[in-house]
Amino acid sequence: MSQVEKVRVKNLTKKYGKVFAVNDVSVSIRDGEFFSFLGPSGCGKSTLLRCIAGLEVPDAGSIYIGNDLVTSVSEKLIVSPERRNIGMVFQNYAVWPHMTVFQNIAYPLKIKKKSRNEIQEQVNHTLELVRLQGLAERYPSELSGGQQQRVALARALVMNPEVMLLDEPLSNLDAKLREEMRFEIKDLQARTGLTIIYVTHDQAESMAMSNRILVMDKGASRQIGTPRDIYETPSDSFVAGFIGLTNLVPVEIVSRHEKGCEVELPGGQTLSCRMDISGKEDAILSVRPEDIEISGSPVKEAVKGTIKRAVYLGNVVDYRVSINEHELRVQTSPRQIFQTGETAYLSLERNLLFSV
Amino acid sequence: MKMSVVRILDAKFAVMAAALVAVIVITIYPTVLLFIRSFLVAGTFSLQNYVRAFSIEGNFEAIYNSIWVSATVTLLCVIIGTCLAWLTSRTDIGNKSHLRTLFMIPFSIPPFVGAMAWIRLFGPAGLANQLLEFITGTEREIFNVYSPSGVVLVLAVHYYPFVFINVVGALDRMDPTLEESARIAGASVFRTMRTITLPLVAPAIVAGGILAFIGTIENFGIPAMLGMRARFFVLPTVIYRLLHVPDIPAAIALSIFLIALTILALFAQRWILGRRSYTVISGKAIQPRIARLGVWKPALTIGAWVFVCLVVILPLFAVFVTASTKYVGAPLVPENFTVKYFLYILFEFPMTQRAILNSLFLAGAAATIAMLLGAVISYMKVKARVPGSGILDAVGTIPYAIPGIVIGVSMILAWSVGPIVLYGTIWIMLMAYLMRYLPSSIRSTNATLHQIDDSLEEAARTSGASWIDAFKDVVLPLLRPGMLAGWILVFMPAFRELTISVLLWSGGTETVGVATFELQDAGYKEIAAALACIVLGIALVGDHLIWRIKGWVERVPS
Repeated sequence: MSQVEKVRVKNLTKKYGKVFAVNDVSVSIRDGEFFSFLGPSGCGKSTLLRCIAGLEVPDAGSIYIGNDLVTSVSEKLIVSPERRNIGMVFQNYAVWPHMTVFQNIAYPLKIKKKSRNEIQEQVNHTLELVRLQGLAERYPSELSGGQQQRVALARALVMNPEVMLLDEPLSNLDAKLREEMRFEIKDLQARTGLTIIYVTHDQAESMAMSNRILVMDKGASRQIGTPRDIYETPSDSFVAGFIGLTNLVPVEIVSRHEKGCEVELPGGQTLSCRMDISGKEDAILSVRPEDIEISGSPVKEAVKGTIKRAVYLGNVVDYRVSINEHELRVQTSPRQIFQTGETAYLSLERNLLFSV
Repeated sequence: MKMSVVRILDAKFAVMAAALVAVIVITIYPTVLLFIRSFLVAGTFSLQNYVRAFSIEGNFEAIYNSIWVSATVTLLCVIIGTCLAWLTSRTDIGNKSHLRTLFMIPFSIPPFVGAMAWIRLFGPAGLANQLLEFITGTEREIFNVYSPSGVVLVLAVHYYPFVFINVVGALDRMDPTLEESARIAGASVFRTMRTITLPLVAPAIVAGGILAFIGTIENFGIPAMLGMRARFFVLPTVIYRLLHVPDIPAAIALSIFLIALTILALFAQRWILGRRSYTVISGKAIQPRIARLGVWKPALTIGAWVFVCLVVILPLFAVFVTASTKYVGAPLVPENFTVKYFLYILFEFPMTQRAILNSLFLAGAAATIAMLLGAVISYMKVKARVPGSGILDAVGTIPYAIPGIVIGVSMILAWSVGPIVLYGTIWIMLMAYLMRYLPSSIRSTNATLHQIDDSLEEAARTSGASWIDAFKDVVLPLLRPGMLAGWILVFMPAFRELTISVLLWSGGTETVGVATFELQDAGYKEIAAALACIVLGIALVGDHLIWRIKGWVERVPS
């Protein structure tokens, strides 16, 4: 993966009526990168992808693919989808039911008026890439969901696009097949060095596959970073809550010092944080369930609570611990198990503060 | 190589403007003209036409007749259609799929052919009356089909399939767990039917009933052939009579009144169904729960087959026998059978030859033009989503609410004076057919286009195809089976059309409907029956084709 930019989106805005589907989003994707747009349904991630594909006309902003300006609202320029040299895979595959597997995959090459031999050769090569050898003469209705998905991938791959756009390609597959295809897409990218933009609402999927992730909510960009950045240093409480599990507790900052601050939890107990947010009294404390240590006896810097529920899950024990009126979720290794009703002392490691 | 947003929209607006002009000429101009003329007397606004229309003796009675006939027929259709639907969807009655096909056949029989058949059976000296006379030895006929009750009965036989097909569809697609839950909750079979099944299919019953009502109130062929001889008039036949007087202003006023009645029925449907939009009926075909008929099974099976004999086999048999025996009333022995009437209408008689060619041309042209125009209008609305295309779609489907006889009247007004006179030519009939059948072609292309997911076209675009290429390579091939079905769906009724044609024909532009009607009226029963047999054959084959095509359209995954 190089540092060369492959796709650049600048201040893109798309409205449906009065609703902002995409609100002033800027992002750049590097050559050879596996980049995800991640967010809950309706957050605008698909609309953003469709703007890049040229299937939607934005209300403001511009888009570059390679060195070409392909969308610019201020210059009234919309390069139509067929001239962008992109490959796209749709959520419902969009494999043409009236064409065989071969015809589906050959279609982009036929449009480009390639010679017969060239088409034959490239389609065969692509069929091999997606492991569909021997199915070339089948019709889509004779294929399984996973096979149809491979046809869609092959069709997008065959024309050697500048960038591949994948719109929730695995969401219609069952869990086992999804896992398998995840690996295959990742492997395909490794072998071809393609730039991929991948839209998904599944945070585990995007964590597992991406070099970097754009987290979106209500049309706005919330954070851009590597999976580790996003998990460990989320930029706000939405990102912290959306990626993985976390406890979000409303707190009040009572005193500040060089290394951080002291906060008061609901109910009056205090806790020290290693970070600070400037200017405000009210804040949200975020701490992941696996970052909380439980102890049966008082520990320095710990808050006191009562075990409300303990569920044994094998690799971890999942607790609900109430601290005054607030409940925290805690996951620890099952070496020491606490019973419901026991008093517990919680050390909230690696906690983060966000503004309200 | 770069295309601006504005230019793409320009091209689509140009296509839409052309479609708009076509719809204005075909639909809006005649409709608006009819409406305006109903309020004009000697160039000034007046209600005089309406006053006249109501004061002519018999007109008021015709309105009354139209309403009670339609209401009675609708009630009969609902009862017959719902019972037959339940029998073939939810019981263990034998030969279900055959029964279903047979129950649908009256739908394919043109109303005027049905009327001819019933005349042959129950007319004076009809086969059934003769048979009864032979058995009982009395001179009294059991039933005279030239009567108000004859009109009602034959209409009900023709229109019950509308209810039947709607209710069968609803029953087949209903989620069986809804009924099973009621049984588990402790309800008996009968109670489940009354409190769960029936309310759930009620919207389908209402929808079918309204279709039957509208079909009945605008039907011309049956009341014309069975009612007029008994001096029993309904709105379409009275309008027909007024045009022959001629009393155009009164005909116009009654036409507007007839439109009002149909619109009222459509609003009633909206009002009833609007509050009952159920989504419990799933799209999938699931095996529903089957009721065991037990001891009733033999009786109901026999009943169903007797019904089939009465409404399907006997009428078809009567028409066929009339056409293929030497004279009406000849004993049914081999030496009395002949094909001479078929040969006569096909190879010797210029009028019937012309009629067949005219009908083939009119139906083919109407189906082709309506289909293309319909495809453009629905594409603009469903796929391109051009602003304003919704209005075009709505306006194009207005003639749904306009009875055939009224379309005929409005065509006379629109094309018999002014710069372009089409009256007396075949082109006025083509215009009328287009207005009549554009709604169904728009509906069918809408449905087909909705089945083609947008992403199929978008995938072509991102594969490098321009929108013309994408339309040509992806949308059109997927649209083709649906368009073919839609084409036949226009061709079939247009080929056997009578109501409009009977108002607009003149020497040389006869259609098969007109020719059959006129020949029957003039007493040439054998020739009329032979022509009816040809119409029937084409109707049955065509309707069968539609079912087949619909079958494979639904199998295309979207």
